[in-house]
Amino acid sequence: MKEVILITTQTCPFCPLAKKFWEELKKEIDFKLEVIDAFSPEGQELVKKFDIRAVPTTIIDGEVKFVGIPKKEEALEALKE
Amino acid sequence: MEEYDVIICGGGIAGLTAGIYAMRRKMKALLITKDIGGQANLAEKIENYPGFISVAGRDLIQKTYEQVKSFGLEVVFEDVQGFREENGKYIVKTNIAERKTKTVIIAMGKTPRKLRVPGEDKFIGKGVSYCATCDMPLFKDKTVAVIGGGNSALEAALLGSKFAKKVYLVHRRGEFRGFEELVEKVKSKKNVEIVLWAIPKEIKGEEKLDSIVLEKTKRDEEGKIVGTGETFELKVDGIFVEIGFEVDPTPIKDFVKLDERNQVIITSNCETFYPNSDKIRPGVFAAGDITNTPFKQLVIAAGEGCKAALQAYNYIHGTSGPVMVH
Repeated sequence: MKEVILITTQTCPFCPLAKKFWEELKKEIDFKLEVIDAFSPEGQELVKKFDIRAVPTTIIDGEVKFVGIPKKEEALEALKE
Repeated sequence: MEEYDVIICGGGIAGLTAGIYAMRRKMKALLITKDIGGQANLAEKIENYPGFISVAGRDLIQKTYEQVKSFGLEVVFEDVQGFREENGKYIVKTNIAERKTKTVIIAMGKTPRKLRVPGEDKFIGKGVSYCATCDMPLFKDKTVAVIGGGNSALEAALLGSKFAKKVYLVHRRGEFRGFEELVEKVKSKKNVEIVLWAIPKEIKGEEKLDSIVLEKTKRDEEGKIVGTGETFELKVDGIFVEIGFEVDPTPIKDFVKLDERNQVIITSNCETFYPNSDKIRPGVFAAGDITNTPFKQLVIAAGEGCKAALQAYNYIHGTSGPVMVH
């Protein structure tokens, strides 16, 4: 099963929508979704590891796939890969 | 093809308000947008919207979106790419589909103005940001440059001073356009270095953003700001572009009349005109920051969204004059 990690910050106005986007998609297609704040210890590790410089950032199966909110088709494509 | 009474293009406060009024008038309505909230999302504090002493932009937008959804408005997240007229109806083309409608409300707002220098596109999302509120906290203990001279740039620099090790605030003039109080606050921050009389020329880096090349500027004999040809380079990890907003004319330029700043020219009733003509384009309305209405304020955009929706209702039902709404 695909593992999707969404990196957000509390100050990012687009992050709640990005979260909603992935949650809605999860109703259509099964994948594991984790939303991680960039400033949690886990988030800080990911920020360093992937050199994240913008949010919302989506990591799928250990690879940064999207910065920003992707189009639904792009997201579905990435989940099918 | 399914036919809508109204397609609202844009999910900022103008489009959302149009959605509320369209739904209350029982119109078959669709809202097409790339995001919800637009520029309002970027405002940390809004203190001039009636009903709120102080509210974060994203909270106001979230509440408005919940209100819109409570009326059952259909919303799709797509990119509007163009319009055309077909047998007295309109087709709205997006990156995904074409949809038919009796009326259109153009409320796509404005988008952040880009620097338009080499290297900018390469590093968008990888160091170049147009949203300091979103991304500045990711530059903890790093060096950033904020470009601009207005309130947004000053606020971004202040925000940067909380997180970054060093902030360069780069402005092409010798004085800032923002509020004096903000300027003073910025000047008081020890980790903010103000770089006046300079414009970005290039953003450099291989894998990572590495530096920004600036050109010194001066006023010419006519008082215009011009480059002197002398350049210098600043090592930075991130660049925050805060040089205002502009209309993207691409989807609308062949559909409605625009002014010299690419804003949609409207009547006091939010009606639009055919391109290069003084003839009103029937059934096509515009609202919010994309229009040539002076004073870009949330409350004005919301008011125009309301007017545009009621005018669309009028147009469909063949009524004229003010509409009574309860």
